[in-house]
Amino acid sequence: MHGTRLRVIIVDDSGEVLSALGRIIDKQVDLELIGVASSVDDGVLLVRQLQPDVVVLDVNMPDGGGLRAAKEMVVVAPAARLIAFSAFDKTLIRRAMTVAGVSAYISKSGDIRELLDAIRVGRDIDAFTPR
Amino acid sequence: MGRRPFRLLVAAVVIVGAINCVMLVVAPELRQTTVVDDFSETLSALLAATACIITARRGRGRARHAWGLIGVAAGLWGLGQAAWTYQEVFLHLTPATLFPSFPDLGYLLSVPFAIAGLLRLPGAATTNEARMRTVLDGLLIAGGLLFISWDVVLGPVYASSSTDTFAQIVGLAYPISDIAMVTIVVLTLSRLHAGQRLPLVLLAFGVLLNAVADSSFAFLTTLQSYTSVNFPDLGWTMGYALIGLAAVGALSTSAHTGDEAIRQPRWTLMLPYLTVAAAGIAAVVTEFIAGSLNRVLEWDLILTITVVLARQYLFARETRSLNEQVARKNEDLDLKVDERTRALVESLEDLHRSNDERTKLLLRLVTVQEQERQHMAGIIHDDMLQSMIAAKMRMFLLHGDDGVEDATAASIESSIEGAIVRMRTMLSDLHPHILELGLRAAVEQSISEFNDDENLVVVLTNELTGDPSPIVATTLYRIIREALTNASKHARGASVTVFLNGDQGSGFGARISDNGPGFAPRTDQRSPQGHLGLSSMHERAEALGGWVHLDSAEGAGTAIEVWLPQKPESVVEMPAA
Repeated sequence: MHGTRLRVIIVDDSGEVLSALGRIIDKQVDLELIGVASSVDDGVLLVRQLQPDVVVLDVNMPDGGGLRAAKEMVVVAPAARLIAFSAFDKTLIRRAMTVAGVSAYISKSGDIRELLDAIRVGRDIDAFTPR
Repeated sequence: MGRRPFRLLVAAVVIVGAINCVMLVVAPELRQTTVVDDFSETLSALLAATACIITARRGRGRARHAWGLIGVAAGLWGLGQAAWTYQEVFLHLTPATLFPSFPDLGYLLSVPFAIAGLLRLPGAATTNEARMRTVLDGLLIAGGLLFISWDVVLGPVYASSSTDTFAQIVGLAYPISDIAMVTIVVLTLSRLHAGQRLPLVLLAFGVLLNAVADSSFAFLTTLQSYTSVNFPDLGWTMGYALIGLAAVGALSTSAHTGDEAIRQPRWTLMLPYLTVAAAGIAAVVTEFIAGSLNRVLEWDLILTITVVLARQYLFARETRSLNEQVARKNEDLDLKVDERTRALVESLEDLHRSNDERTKLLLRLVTVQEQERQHMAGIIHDDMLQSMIAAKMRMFLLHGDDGVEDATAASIESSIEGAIVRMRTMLSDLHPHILELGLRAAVEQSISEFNDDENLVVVLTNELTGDPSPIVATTLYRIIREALTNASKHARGASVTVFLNGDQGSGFGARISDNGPGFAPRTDQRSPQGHLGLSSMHERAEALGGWVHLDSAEGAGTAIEVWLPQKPESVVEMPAA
C-alpha cells in the first residue's frame, strides 16, 4: 500500500460541505477523492461499487442518517474504514456509531486536521508531502 | 284622638253607668230612674255611633268600612231607642204595649249593619269563601245555642206566652241575631294579633252585653213581665259605651289598614261544631224525657244540619280549590325544576365540551410547537450550520496545513467556530436529535451532561419496556430536563435519581427525586417563585392527557412525578424525527 494514495469517498447531505471538504482532500497528495454522495442510499451504492479505503460519513442525514449508512457500508465494503463526521458531539451517538462499525468519530466544528489525521491512521504521514 | 279624651270618656261612661246602676238598685219604681235609664241608653248608643264614624273617617281599608258599618248599626239602634224613649217618657206609653213597635224597626235594622261591620273587621275573613264560612259558622253556633235555649228556657216560656205570631217572630229575631253577632265577634277575635286585640276585646264585650240585654228583653217580654226598668237595660248602656270605647281605642292604637292576612288558630275550626254537638246531646236528652221534640226544635235541628251540610260543601270546595292550587304549584315547581335541571345539564355539557376543546387545542398547540421547532432545527442544521462548517473548511483551504499566520483570517475562523457552537446549542434546545436513538438514550445523554457539569450527581433507574410515541417521548424528555435544570439551580450538589418506567399498554412515566433543600409547593402545584418551568410541565403533560405531581417540603427534598398515556387521544402525531 506504500506509495499509493488512499481512496476516499465523502457522504454528506450538504452540498457546501461536500465541495469544501472535497477540495481539502483533493489538495492532499496522499489522498484521492474518488466519489461524493449526498444521500444514504447513493453513498451505500457508491461505496459498494468503488470499494474505497476510507469513507467520511456525515452522521445527521435524512433516511436513517449516518447510522444506517454505516451499518450497510460495513456489509457492502468490509475493507473500507468508516469515519463519522458530525456536527454534534453526543456521547451516545458516538457510541452508537462505533457499535455500528465506524473507526473514528470526528466533530465538524473541530480542527479539520483531526479529520485528515483520522483518514491517515496507520499511514506513515512523513512519506508524503502536500502538493 | 289621643289618650286624654279616651280616659275622659272612660271616666264618663263609668260615672253614668254607676249612677244608672245605683238608681236601678235603690229606686227601680221611680219615674226618674226610667228617664235616666232611657236617656243613658240613647246617649250611649249615639255616642258610640259618633265614635265609630269618626274612627271610620280617619281609618283606611277594611277598618274604615268595618267601623263605618258598626257606627251605622249603633246609630240605628240609638234612633230606635230614641223612639222608645219618646214613646215611654213623653207619650207615657207602657212597655207592654210598645212591643213590637216602631223602635223595634231601629233595633232590628241595626243587626245586618252590625254583622256586616263585624265581618269587615281587621283580621276577619278576607276572601269571599272565608267570609261565607264565618257566616255559616255563626249560623251553626246560633242554631246550636238556640236549640239549647229553646229546649231549656225560651221554648217553654214562649209557648206559655199569649202574644201574637208577629211579636213572637220579632222576639225571636233578637236572640238569634245576637248569638250570630257574638259568634262572629268571637271568631274575629281569635284571628287577631295580640297587639291590635284590645279595641276588639272591648267591642266583643260590648256586643256580648247587648246580646245578653236583648235576650233578657225577649225572655221578659214573652213572660210579659218587662217593666221598662230592668237590670238588663244596663247591658245596653254599658254595651254601647264599650263599643264607643272600642272605636276610640282603635283610632288611637291601630295604625294599619287591617289588610294583612292572619293565620287562624286551629281550635276555632272546632268551635261551631261544639255547639252543634251540645245541641245534639240536648236533643237526645229531650227525646228521652219528653218522648219527642216539638216542631221548633225539629226545624231548628233540620236548619242546623242544613247549615252543617252547607259548611261541609264549602269546606270541600275550599279543600278542592286548595288541592288544585297545590297541584298547580307543584306542577309549576316541577316545570321549574325540570327547566333548571335542563339548563344545568346543558351548561355542564358546555363546560365539558369547552374543556375537551381546550385540551385538544392545548395538545394541538404542543404538537404544532414541536413540529415547528423540528422544522426550524432542520433548517438550521441542514442549511445554516452546514454553511458555517463549509466556511470554516474554506478558511482552512485559504491558509493550508501550516496554520494561520494572518490575524484577520484567525479572527474570522474563531467567529465561525463561535457561531457553530451557538447553533449547536440552539439545535439541541429546539429539537433533541438524540431522541432519534430512543427516550432512554436521550435521558442518559442528558444525565451525562448534568453529571459533567458537576452540580448534581444523577443516576438513572430504567424500567422502560418499549418506546413511547415521538410526542410522548419528546414531552417526557423535556419534562425530565426541566426537572434536572431546576435541581441544578435549587439543589446544588444534591443526589438525583431519575426513574423511568412504562410500556405501550399503560403509558410512560418518570420520577425525578433529589435530596436537596426542597420547598413549600403552592397548593395548585404550579410554579413557586423561581420555578417557572413547573407550569409548563403541567401544561405539557395535561395537553397529552397525563399529569405532573410535585411533592416537596422545606428540608425534605423534591420529587416530581409525571405520567403520560402512550397514545394521546386525537393527537396530531409528529412525523418521525
